[in-house]
Amino acid sequence: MIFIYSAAFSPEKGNYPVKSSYEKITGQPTLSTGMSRAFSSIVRFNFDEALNYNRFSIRIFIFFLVQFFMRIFILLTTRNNLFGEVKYIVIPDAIISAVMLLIFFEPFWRELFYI
Amino acid sequence: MNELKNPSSGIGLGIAGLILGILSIPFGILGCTFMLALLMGILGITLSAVGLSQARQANSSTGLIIAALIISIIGTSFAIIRLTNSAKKTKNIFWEWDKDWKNKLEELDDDDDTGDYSSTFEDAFRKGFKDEVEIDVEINTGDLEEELEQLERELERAGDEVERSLEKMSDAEKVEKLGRATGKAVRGFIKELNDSVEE
Repeated sequence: MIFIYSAAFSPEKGNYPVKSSYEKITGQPTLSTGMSRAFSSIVRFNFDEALNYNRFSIRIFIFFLVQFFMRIFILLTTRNNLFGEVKYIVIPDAIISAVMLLIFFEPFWRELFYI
Repeated sequence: MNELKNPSSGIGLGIAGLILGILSIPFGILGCTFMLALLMGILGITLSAVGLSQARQANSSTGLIIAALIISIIGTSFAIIRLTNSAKKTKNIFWEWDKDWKNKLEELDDDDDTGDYSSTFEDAFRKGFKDEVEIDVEINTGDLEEELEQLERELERAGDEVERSLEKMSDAEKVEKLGRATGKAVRGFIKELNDSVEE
């Protein structure tokens, strides 16, 4: 969904339907400002431009990309019962995803909790 | 003994709640999309709660649905934290602006080079208020349109003269002129008002 959204809108036009709520309320940018434009640049393979829009864009994009492939892997393995019971797949998946969330979103956790 | 009436009852809503809850977490952590996260989180909580109630009524398994509810609550919490942070930030911004203006006014008062503007203005205002109001414009023709055009030219000339003289003045002199002009203007207004009341 995120990849389709990024590909559908271009950073030059800036015609994204989802606007920054934080900037609307405070008038100030935040760490995630420019993320939509950066993602659109990444799907178009303009990595330098993506870093200009938002310096954390590539790490967040990698997170979503890995999660996308993990979902496909989990779906295939659970359907074909490759690892026996479902819990032997779901529990490690949940742990890995939670750890990835903590590591990849680390600057945003700091911003959220003023660390 | 309770039998499972429908083992998959509520599971559909639970899965929908789980997806929305999982999506609300990263969107809630990112600053720009917290409103979207809030919406997803609330929807996730609602769907999970309804699914849980259906599953309990049908005595089916509730593990997945409870997980969906917890994850949706976590995502919604992040979005609410972002919302309160942005509200605090807005309040701080206005407070900083207010403090900035107050500091600037205090600096003007403390600045020895420019002097105390408030007393300069007050003195000049009093002098201007006591002065008689005079308008030095001569109009000789009886035609109204020509009179208006001449008045416009006179005002433009007066405006240019004022601008040229202001450029040469110091800040203190400007404040004095402003105070006198304001005093004269207020005096003229009060005089006109009294005249119109008497009529």
